[in-house]
Amino acid sequence: MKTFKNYFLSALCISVLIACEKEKTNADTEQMSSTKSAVSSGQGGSMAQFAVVNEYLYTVDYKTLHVFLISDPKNPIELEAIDLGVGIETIHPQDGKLFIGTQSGVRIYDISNPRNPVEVSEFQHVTSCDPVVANGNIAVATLRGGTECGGNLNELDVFDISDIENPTMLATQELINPYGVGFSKVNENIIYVCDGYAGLKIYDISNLLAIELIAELPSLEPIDVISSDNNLLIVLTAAGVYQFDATDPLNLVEKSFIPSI
Amino acid sequence: MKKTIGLTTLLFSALAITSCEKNKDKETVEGYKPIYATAEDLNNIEMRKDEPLENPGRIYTYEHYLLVNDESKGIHIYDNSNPANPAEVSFIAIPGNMDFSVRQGVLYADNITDLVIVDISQPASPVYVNKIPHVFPAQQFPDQFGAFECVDPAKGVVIGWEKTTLTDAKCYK
Repeated sequence: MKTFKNYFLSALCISVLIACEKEKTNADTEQMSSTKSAVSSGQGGSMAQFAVVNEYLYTVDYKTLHVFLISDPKNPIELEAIDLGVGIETIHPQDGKLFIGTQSGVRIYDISNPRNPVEVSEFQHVTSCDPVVANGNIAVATLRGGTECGGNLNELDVFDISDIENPTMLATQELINPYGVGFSKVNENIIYVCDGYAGLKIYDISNLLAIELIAELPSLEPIDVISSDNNLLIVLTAAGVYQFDATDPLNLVEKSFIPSI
Repeated sequence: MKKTIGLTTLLFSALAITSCEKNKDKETVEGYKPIYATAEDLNNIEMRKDEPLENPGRIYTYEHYLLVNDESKGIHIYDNSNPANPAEVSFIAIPGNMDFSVRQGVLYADNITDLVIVDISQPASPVYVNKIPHVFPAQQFPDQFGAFECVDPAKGVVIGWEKTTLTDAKCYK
């Protein structure tokens, strides 16, 4: 009887604790929505290992996903350090999800509770490096093989993520030396693929079953891209940073170049 | 990359030829050795200007600014209100920096094992705020596969790797 009583008491304590925790989360959510309009955060490329989503900063190192609360901007608090195993490379937030590129595949985490990312699915592939980005129901990843990454496959993969728990691969294209990838902000059916020494490649993905290489800039050695709101395409290369007017996403007009020494 | 493989093959061939004469314990191989920094070096976060871009590693846009990470060195901030003529307004020297994000005028960046907080609400005059020490793991191995000189924590914290010829390498990735 005594044991039973103890169990009962413990259960009661736990439920009280849970209730308090819940209240705290609700308060945070409220605070978040009230300050959201005044908030500005930046935009990174597909190779990023840092990502800001509302009042949270997510970072990945080679094995850990960190969650920081940055509601008090100058006093971040580390909330979680989640062990993801080795070979973690990139992080990309979209629509309440984190897309994490790893050396063995792409993992999708749900952050509806921003403090507690929960894995919803994974698409595995051969060992390689692979940044991943998403837009609406489409995710694209590049796979790079070679000495730094393992494996020997170099390709672009396009996934349907409308059923987030069961992503399916729709298309694949062979590449040579792939790095970052990004959707055009001007036309979401256009993606920019950094194929390293093989140049910048522009694909039309309006027909997902027959994606098409429609333009390329072979003279660049691109590593990553950002398509920004003001119709700019910023291209990172080992030689420096290019900026193009991408109003016509297929006809990039160079505006400036910051050379590296 | 091909060059590396070629050189490695060459080294191995050379090794195969000479190994008959030499002591096996003194085998040499191409690999990487750690670059160490002391705790003091790591804390050396400085605000500068007119710093040349050496090895651009990440790009980032924030309002009308373009931020570019210079691998292991820090972050350049360019005023990009005219994309035809981006102008560097400041450089934040952060030892070992590889990545960062910005929200509400505050920059968060990695500084080897620490998270650094810098106020960039006036991008031409960034102000160091604080850091959270020991949140990220210290580097234990290089990005590349192959031989490397094992890390000795007594020598400091690893901030990078340099290519070298290793004698009797004990660590492999």
